[in-house]
Amino acid sequence: MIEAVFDEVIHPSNRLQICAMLAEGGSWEFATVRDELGLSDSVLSKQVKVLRESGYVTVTKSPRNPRSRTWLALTAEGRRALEGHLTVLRRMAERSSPARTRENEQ
Amino acid sequence: MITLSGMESGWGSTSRTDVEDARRALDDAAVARQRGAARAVSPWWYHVATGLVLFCVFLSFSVGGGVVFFVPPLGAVAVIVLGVLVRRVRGVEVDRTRDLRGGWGPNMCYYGLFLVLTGVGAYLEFGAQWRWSMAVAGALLLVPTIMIGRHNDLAKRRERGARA
Repeated sequence: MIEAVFDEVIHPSNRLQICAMLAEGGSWEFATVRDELGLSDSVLSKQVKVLRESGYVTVTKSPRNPRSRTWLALTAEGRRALEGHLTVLRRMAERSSPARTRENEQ
Repeated sequence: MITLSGMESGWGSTSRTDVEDARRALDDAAVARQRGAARAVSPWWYHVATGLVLFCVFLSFSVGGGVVFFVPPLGAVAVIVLGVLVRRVRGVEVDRTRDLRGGWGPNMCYYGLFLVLTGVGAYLEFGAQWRWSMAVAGALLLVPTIMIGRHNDLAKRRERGARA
């Protein structure tokens, strides 16, 4: 059962998109996420750092080769937080259907 | 910037801006999910290569001799290498244990066909001494192996697209 909780860590646009993309697979290469979302290295690094500190994302890199590829993955906690946050957003969007909005305007 | 004010405190005072923000956020998430879904499917050559590896393993049983001892383990290594290649090319590591999303029916049909062809091929090859029976069984499995891989990929993409 998904608990609908508004998550301030996930909500900012870039972080929400990062989490949504990571939720579609196991591990994602840093460069792939960067290219698919059209972000710069620095922006993605900054957002990933916040997500990692919150325990939502893991960052893996070969300890022997610092120039090797960096892999990102959503943790179970991150997946739960994302689904909970999306549930809140969906409920909120549903609360104001066009008919309801017209009623409110009248 | 977080503008969904009042979300935590309750639903009653939802303003229009908040609703628009929520819809925009949902759209952003949907776009990211669709991009992710498109990227997370295996390339076409992965399934073709997997089918060919399987065929080579079956063929080795027909060829016989020392080939039988090194082709099947080599086939297992080839499948692992293919997985690593896909991961490097696509930039995504997909959890293949969840590949039955294509539905139990088609997958069970494939595994049933696999067992029947393997059994019949082995019986004819080693029991009835019909040479190349295993190779024919491997050749017959080639197309279904490619098709079930593609089917599962398309099912995953559809499921992800629908969820997005």
